[in-house]
Amino acid sequence: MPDKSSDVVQGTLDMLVLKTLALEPMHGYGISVRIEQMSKGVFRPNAGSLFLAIQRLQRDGLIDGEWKATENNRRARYYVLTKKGRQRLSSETREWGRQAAAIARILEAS
Amino acid sequence: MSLLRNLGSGLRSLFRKEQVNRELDEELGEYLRMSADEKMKQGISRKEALRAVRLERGSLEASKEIVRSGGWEFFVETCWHDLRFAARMLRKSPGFTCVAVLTLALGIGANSAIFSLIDAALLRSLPVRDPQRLVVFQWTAHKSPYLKGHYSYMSCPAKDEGASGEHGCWFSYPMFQQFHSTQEAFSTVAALCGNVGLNLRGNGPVTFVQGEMVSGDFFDTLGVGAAVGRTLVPSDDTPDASPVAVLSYGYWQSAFGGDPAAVGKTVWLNNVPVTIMGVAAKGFPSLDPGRVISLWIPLSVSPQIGLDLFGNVSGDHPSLKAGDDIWWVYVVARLKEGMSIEQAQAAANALFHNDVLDKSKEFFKTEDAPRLVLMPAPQAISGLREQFSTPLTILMTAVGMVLLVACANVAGLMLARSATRQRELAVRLALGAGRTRIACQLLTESLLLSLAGGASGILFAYWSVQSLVAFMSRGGVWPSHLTVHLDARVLVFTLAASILTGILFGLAPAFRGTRLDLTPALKDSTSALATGESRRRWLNLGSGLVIAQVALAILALSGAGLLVRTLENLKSVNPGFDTRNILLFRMEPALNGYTGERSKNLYSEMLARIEAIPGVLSASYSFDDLLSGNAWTTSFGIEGQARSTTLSTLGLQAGPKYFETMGIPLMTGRLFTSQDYSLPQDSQWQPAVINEAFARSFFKDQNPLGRHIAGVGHQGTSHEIVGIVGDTKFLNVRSEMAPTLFVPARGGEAVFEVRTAANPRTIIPAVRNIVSQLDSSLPLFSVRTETEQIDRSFFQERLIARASSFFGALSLLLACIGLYGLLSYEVSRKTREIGIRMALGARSSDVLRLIIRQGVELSAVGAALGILGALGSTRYLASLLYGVRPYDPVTFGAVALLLALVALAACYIPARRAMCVDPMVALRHE
Repeated sequence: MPDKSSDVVQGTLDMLVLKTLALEPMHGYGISVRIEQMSKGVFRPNAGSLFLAIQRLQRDGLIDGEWKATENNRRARYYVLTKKGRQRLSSETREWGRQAAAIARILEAS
Repeated sequence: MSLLRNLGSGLRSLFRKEQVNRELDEELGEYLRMSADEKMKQGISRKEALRAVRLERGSLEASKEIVRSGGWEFFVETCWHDLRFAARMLRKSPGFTCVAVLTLALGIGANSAIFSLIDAALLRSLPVRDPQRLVVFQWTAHKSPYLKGHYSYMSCPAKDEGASGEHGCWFSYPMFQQFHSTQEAFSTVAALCGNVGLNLRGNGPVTFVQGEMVSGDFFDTLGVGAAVGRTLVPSDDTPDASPVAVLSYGYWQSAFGGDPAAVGKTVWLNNVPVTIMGVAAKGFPSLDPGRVISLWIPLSVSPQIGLDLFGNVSGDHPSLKAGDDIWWVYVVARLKEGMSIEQAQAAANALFHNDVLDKSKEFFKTEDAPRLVLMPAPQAISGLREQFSTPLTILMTAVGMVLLVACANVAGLMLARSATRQRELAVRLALGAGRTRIACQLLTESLLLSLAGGASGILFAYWSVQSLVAFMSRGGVWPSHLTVHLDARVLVFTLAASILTGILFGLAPAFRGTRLDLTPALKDSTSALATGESRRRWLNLGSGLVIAQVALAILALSGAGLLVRTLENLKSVNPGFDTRNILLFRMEPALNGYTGERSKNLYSEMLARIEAIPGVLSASYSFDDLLSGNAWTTSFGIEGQARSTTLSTLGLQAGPKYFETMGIPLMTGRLFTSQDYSLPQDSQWQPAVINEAFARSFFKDQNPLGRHIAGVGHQGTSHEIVGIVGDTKFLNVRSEMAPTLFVPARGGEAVFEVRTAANPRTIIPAVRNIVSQLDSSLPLFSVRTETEQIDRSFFQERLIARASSFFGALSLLLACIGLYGLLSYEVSRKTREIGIRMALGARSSDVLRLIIRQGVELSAVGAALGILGALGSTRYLASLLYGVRPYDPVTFGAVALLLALVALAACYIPARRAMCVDPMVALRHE
């Protein structure tokens, strides 16, 4: 089924959250929607895993959270990337690229 | 930084739970609402949208749970919950909790107590500054050096254990001076020589004290300061310095009442005035913490004090006058900053090599491969280790077994309890608790129990250590300055033992608790369970635990039994003389400048006056006393015998009426007469008395009477054998009846033996009086009765035998409580079965047999295993045993019998209960 969401590859949700926040500060739902859009519906993290990742990133000092009003005049916690988070994102992106390329090479080898 | 943040955030969720929860609620709620809003845009109702979101994204509660379980604080919280739950469960069954905690307290407490002794005797560091930088000098070679004499002080363990050849820690004074000048390797080098007997006058009645002669920078080298006044300095150790002494803190306390005015006071040591310069630091009993030193004097004082350490070695005194062919000082040094022990050793070895291989001296030949090694002081100074490691290892093994039995015991209790808790566990499992969670929870319970046991065990340990140390100090085995306290190391040990214990006995129930078959457990009532499959499994484990307890108890008891038999054997040994009612005391008038002849006259006067005391039967003196561990060994040759080889025998210089006083029987010939004692020193003819072992060993079938032996002692005197007496044990009770040669005593230092009609202690004041009338500057010392002396020589055996019996009995008691618990449980389970049997006509004796049989089977299997284990392991005790083999059938039989009796008693109470079951009540039981 095309709308069946896949689980995010183990350990990469953190990276995806960082990437989403690199564009602009966002609240939990926004992050979730953005990941879904960018992955064209392949990844649909459920609430538990998403907020667990957020809590983890916050504790590692990679993102910061702040309560703000939303455009619909509701209250939500907006997250921003810290400097450390930005560094982590670039290093993880590089590492991911390296690994993905390596895996691809292995899988394509005949 | 992020660690701090993590910690802070975790703590916030722990302690400000409400707020954190609310925030999480709000955030998640908002998230779900936003998702629902999005869905509603597709035109479905709000309710349906919310439902869809829950399905897609997870419900609010489930998500919260996921987020919450992610942090470390969740783990802490779980543990806290478990702990509170465990405490509640234990409070609910106070009987079980009490028994379990008490059992564990005994087990853990006994271990803490013995460990605190090990801590005090074996694990504490030396009482010096930076002990690892302090080194002890030792020589090794294939052969002993060719010397005129040597004197060894302090124990001297070989650096490379198992290395063949000779080694020693004694050096000549000139060699020490050479080491002392090696500036590049050591910051300071010090020499010492001990067991210096001193008659001390000027502080109350004359006393005899043990001192140590040390070089001037001894205290500097060790890094030991003074509690009052000052310690010795190099300028004290010069030939023209005025004599000074430094007291040990313990001696200062006991003899001077800790009075600071003692410093500056003058006392007379062997009639030489000496000024007390100070008191050494409180924590410094001596370099070897196993020794008690009263005072230290500089080496340079020794010639003035007339020390005669080598009185019986070829007339050469180990003093500063001794040349380099007498080795007598023990050398320690502190490594120079930045010097490794190997570098220092190379430097010192070069010196040593040059000196000992010197052609003019040639103490060693090159092929002997003499070598100087440096040992770190903590490794080299091992007096306490040698003294205590065996008894403490045995005691630690015994208490270890007690703890194992206690563990098995409590595990059995827990199992019985977990069997009654099966329904509770089943309900929790059915409600979705994870099996790991249940196991964790059960383990938390056992840990809580064992920690409570450990805490109470500390109290038990505190009390038992006090009495144990008091007992050992009375016996003179435990150095009084060696304080035993429950320090951090003991507490850590107890904590570790508790946790290990908790895991050990908690594993079985935890394992069992999680392997529950839900359906029957939920369906059946608790007592019906007893007939099911799980009951059999439980029984197997429970029985196994009881068997293990019995086996361990038997093992502990067998060891204890062998040690008790050893003690009994030693006590019943006939040493060849009458040991009752003999008073012993020593004197060393030579220290006060008495010549041999003068002391002999003093002694005859003393003997005459002592024999006049009412109640004294006879009195004598000798150079050594029997069964004291001291002996004189001499070589000799037999005149007229073809063999030219020199023979060797134990020798004793005996005073007048020695044999009559000691009760040693004369076999043939005659004893020494008063004429024998008035012979001039250089008389050509001297008499000798030998014992039967001497006659047997050296004369075979010939008649020794009238034969001459020559070359006795270092003067090489010759003697005519005039009599043969019965054999006696000489060195100690364990030694063989060895050949012994008796010659008339000629004064010098002596042990007096006074035989009395009644309690010999009552005449001590009268004897002291007589001596002080004759010469008030002569102290008596080592005053004791022969029985006390023998008792003291058995002290270690008695301590081990008593303590191991106590711990053996404790394990037996625990094992029987375990047996009793299991059978009681069985009886209460089987009430229905017993009721049916009785209703069908079984007599109460049949019921009794049913229960007892189970108990007997368990103990028999346990006993068999225990005895097998004992057969395999008691040989490790072999070196301690006397008159009994490690596989002594009598001991094992007695232990098994004891077990049978106690086990029967343990079975009888539950069996009684079973007999009293009323069939009607039992059948209505459900």
